[in-house]
Amino acid sequence: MRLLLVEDEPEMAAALSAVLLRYDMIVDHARTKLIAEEAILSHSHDAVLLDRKLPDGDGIDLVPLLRKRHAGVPVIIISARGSIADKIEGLDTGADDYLPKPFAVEELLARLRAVLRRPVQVAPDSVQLGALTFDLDSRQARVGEAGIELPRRELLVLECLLRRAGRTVLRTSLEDAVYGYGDEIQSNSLDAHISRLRRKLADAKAGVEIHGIRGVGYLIRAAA
Amino acid sequence: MKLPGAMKFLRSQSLRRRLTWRLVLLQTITLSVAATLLTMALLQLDPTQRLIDATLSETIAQSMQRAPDGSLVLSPNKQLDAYRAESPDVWMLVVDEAGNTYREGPVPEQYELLQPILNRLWFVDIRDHGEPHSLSAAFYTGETPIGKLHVLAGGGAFVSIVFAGILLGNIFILPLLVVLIIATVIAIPLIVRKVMRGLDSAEAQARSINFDQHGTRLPLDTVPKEVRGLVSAMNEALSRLDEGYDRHRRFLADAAHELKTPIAILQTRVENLDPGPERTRLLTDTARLAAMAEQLLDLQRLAQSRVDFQPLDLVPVAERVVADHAPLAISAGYDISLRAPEPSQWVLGDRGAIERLLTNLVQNAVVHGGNQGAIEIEMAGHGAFEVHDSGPGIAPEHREKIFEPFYRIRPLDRGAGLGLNLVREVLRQHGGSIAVLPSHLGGVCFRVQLPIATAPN
Repeated sequence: MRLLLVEDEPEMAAALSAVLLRYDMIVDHARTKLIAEEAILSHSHDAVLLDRKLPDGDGIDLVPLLRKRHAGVPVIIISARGSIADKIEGLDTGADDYLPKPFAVEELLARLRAVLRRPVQVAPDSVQLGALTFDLDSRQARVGEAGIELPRRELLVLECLLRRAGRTVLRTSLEDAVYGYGDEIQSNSLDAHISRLRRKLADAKAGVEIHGIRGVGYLIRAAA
Repeated sequence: MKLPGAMKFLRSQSLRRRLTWRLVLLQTITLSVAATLLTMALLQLDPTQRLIDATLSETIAQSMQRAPDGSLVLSPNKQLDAYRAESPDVWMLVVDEAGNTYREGPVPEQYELLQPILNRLWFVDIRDHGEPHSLSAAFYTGETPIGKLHVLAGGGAFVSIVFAGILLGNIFILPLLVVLIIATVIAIPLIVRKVMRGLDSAEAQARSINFDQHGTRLPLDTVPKEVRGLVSAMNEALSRLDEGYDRHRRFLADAAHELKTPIAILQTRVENLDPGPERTRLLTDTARLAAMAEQLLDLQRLAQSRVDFQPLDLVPVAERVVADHAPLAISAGYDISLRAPEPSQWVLGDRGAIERLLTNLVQNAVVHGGNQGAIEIEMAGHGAFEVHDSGPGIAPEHREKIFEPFYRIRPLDRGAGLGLNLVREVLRQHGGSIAVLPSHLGGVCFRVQLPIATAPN
């Protein structure tokens, strides 16, 4: 996957590029608005990470151009300006997400996965966590070469959790993902799916753990 | 140094007292001088001349005695002796109704002629305007213990005209002066009090100025013109203080903001390290740095933002805060949960501020909960919620002080940083309260009460 990183701090850009490379993401770095404009006009990226404070202006000014040239490419603003007003302003210009600096790379990855999930774009085809690989196209979970057999609803739960690995997934989001309209939801059926899923993942030595946050939701992360 | 009572009164700082006594003094002097000049003009008194003290003849009349044969004799009198000592030329001519006569001293020969008609005269004032004023004479006619007497005297008891004028003038104005002084003493405090009323309101306003309340200025139109200079100078000083405060605040906000960039770089670099305990420790440190920069910025935001109080459902806010902090809490070894028996709980508050309030209480629990056991956020109903942990708890003597910035319970403690201080500030702004209680989980329970709102339709 190829990302465009618009960021004026060379140190930040270098550190972020290095981290993202570990996740097989190639980063093109633009230091100024002008360089970024050229990059937008001449290349196509899978996603754009946009800093606001640039030497030649506010990064959010680039969003309309991006929308015009590459309508479907998601834009995440990464900025030290993190007040609610800043976020609203950023999202109002048409950015897909707004991540205040400093942030955890896992958070950035989760948000990237979330925005890339939308149609039109080429989404990453698999998620890797612990020893577990999840193929998003075929909805196949495997550890190494060995596949894990899971019923449909447990697969949906796992996919939903993995797309936001390391972050809390609200109970309501999980229920939305697993049950369609008209499905009758037993108050404890989600918990039952999760506990079965946990056991199966443990049996397969997937190296992941699902944590429950009572009253809020669940999160999946690599086993410590 | 201790001033005597009268001096103290005169030097009093009280405007009322100073005005009163100075006005009384001014009135007394002005009136005395005016009355003296007027008297001298009316009585055609020439200030370069001298005249006989009118009491000379009266003193003589009152000192007369009658000898057994009915003739008049002068009994000794100290006042008269004093006049005699002053001038050896004191003379007198005394006549009674029966025609008895008493004379002493060098009576001017011209006045010998007056002796037979002295008992017919009613008012005589003779002024000799040449030195040694030997013809000047004072006349007295009136009842004495020995009957009616008529006295013409001179040659001594000279007084200056000015002295006489002052004496006479002040006798006339004395009653007037007393009335004026009484009126002044009553009127001045009343006037002063009325004038000062504008100052009182300015004072009240000045007293209400505190650290958080900027842009206050004292009212100019209600204060007397004379102190307007002082009040406007005071207002200018307030403006300068406000400017300085704003600069200071902007600096703090900028500094906190600028800190975020190097922290972001640091965090990203640490995340690029190979997994291991060192990386985990470094990530915890960076998270602390990041939280502190954010708290510093939040405190500045809180101080300058006009909070937007609106009915707000606490449950989704708490849900989001718990969701956001769950990864951190789980990594730190906690089991975190939210208990919301009611689907919604409406309070009156500013969304951003309430979110920061909850965030800081949860962060505080993560840092001080002992890295084991549970953290539980409980919606207690009626605008209240609680944050429980199963950590070591807080001794009662520290429960107030933990809300101070960077307070540490133990010297080597991490300290609460700015988080709990921020919590207190948010609650102060909202008119809410916080209690530190023992928790059923074994640690501490922060119980927050916010103003209740009704659910909007």
